[in-house]
Amino acid sequence: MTSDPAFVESPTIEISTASKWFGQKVAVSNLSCSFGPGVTGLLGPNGAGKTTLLRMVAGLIRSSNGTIRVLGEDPRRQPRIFSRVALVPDEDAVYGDMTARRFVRYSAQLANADSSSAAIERTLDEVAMRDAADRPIAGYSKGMRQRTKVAAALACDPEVLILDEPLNGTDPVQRAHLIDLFQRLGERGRTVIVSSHVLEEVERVSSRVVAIVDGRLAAAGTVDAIRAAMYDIPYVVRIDTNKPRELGAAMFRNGVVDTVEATSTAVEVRTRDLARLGSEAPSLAASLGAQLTGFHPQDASLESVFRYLVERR
Amino acid sequence: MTPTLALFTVSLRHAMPRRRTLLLGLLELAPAGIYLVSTTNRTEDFALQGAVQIGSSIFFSLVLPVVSIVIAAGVLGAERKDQTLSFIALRPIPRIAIAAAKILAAIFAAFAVNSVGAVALAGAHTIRFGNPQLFLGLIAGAFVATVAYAAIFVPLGFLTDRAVIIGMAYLLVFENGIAFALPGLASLSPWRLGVVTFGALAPEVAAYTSEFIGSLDVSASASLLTALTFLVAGVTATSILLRTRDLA
Repeated sequence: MTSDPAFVESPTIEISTASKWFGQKVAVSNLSCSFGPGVTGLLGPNGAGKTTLLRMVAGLIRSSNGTIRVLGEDPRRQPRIFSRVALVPDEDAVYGDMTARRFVRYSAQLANADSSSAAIERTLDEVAMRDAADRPIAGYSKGMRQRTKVAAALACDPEVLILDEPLNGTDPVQRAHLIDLFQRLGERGRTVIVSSHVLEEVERVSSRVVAIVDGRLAAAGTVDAIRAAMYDIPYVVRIDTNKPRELGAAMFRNGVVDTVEATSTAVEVRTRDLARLGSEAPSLAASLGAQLTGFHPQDASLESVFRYLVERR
Repeated sequence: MTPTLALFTVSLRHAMPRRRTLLLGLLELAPAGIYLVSTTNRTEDFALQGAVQIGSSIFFSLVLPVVSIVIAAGVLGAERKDQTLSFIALRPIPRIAIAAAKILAAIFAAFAVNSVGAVALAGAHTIRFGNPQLFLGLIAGAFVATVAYAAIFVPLGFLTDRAVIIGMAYLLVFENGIAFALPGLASLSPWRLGVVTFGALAPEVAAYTSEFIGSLDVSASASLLTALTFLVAGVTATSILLRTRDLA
C-alpha cells in the first residue's frame, strides 16, 4: 500500500516529475502523482496549471520534462489509447453547425465505437440532452455545450475520463445531474478526473483531491486527510453556549484549545486536536453547568483548506 | 463507416461552407466570361489561342491557386483556430490517417470548385465553336494543380494563421514573378504543372502554353507524378507536425 497520498495503489495515470514551460513561464513544475479508478478532483486557482497538466495527460501537448503514462502508454506516441481515454476540454471544441446527435455520433465513429442510433440515444440520455439533440450546437447555452462535450466523450465508452472544468456554465440542476453521472462512472470503476477552481464543486464531486498551486503539487488525499495533515494550522470552532466566557476559560486551562474568543452567545476557539475538543467540550460544559447548543468547525471546508495551501506557499 | 472515412466526410463538408463556396464558384466563372467577351466575332483559331491564354494566365495562374489556397489553408487551420483539432486528435486515429483525410478533403473540395472554372471555360469554347477539345486538358490540369496546392497549404495552414497571405505572396511574387523571370524555377510552381497537363492532353493548344511553363517540358503523366509526390510529401509533413507539435 502506498503511503504518499499523491499516489494511488492501482494507477491508470502515472505522472512522474512532469514539467511544462512556455518560454519563460513555468506552467507545471516537477509534478508527480497518480490517478486510479474512482473520481478525483483536480483543484487549483485559475492559472495554477490544471489545464496544462490535463492536456499533457491527454497527449495534446508535450511535457518539457518528466514522463506521463496513461494505461501504461505514452499518450503522445500511441493514439490508439484514445479508444479507452477521453478528454472533455475546457474550451468549446465543438462544431457549431452540427446537432448534438450528429456530434456524438461523429465522436463514436471516430473512436470506432458503437455509433448505432440506440447507443447514441443512450449517451444523450446520460447527459439529459435528448430533447435538444436535433438543434445546431451553435444555438446552445454554455451548459448544453458542456453536456454535449461530455456526451461525445462518453460515446467512446472510456475507461479514463478527464474533464476540464466540466461544470462551468451549468445551472444547479444540470450540475447536480453531471456530478451524479461522474460519481456513477467512478463507482463503475472508471478513472474520472474532474478539474475545477470552484472548491464547492470539487468537494461535491469527489472524495480524493489533488491540489495544484503555481504548477506544483500542493496537496493530495481526502479533504479531511489534507486538513488533518496540516497540523500546524489550528482548526477554528465556534461553540454556542449560554456561558461562553466560563467555558472558554475552562477549555484553555484544560489545554485542549490554543486561543479563545468569547461573544455573548458563543466561544470561538482554535485547536489542533478537533477530536479531543469534540469529546471533552461536553464534559467541561457539564462541570460548569453550561448548555452546549452548537458545535461548528469553521474552516474544515475545502475552501479554507485550499486557502491555507495557497497561503502556506 | 470507418473513422478515417468519417473524418474525411465531415472535413469535406466543412471545407465547403455555402457562402464561401458560392463566392469562389462565381470567381471561377470569370475566365469563361472574359473568354466570351474577348472572342466575340473572332475566328476559331484566334478564340482557341484566347482560351489557352485566358486559361493559363487567369484560370491556372490566378483563380485556381487562390481557390485552392483558401480552401486548403482552412482545412486544418480552421480546426486549430476553432479548437476542434483537439477533438480529432483525441480519437484513436493514426496521425497519418488524419493528415491523409484532411488533405484529400482539401483536394476534393478545391477540385470541385476549380472544376466549375475548367468546365465553364471549356464549355464556353464548345458552345461557341462546337468543339469540346479543351475539356479533358483543363479538367486534368486543374486536378494536378489542385493536388499540389492542397499538399502544400494544408500543412502550412496548420502551422500559421497567415497561410493564405503567405500563399498569395508565393503566388504573386514567386510563381507569377520570379518564376517567369527565372524559367528554371518553374518546377516549383504548381499551377505550371496544371498548364503542362492542359497542353499535354490537348496537343492543339500546346503551342500556346509554352510561354507560361518555363523550362517544364514534361508529359501529363510526369506532371501527375510530380503532383502525387507533392501529395505524399504533404501527408508526411502534416502527420509529422501532428505528432510533434502541441495541439492545444
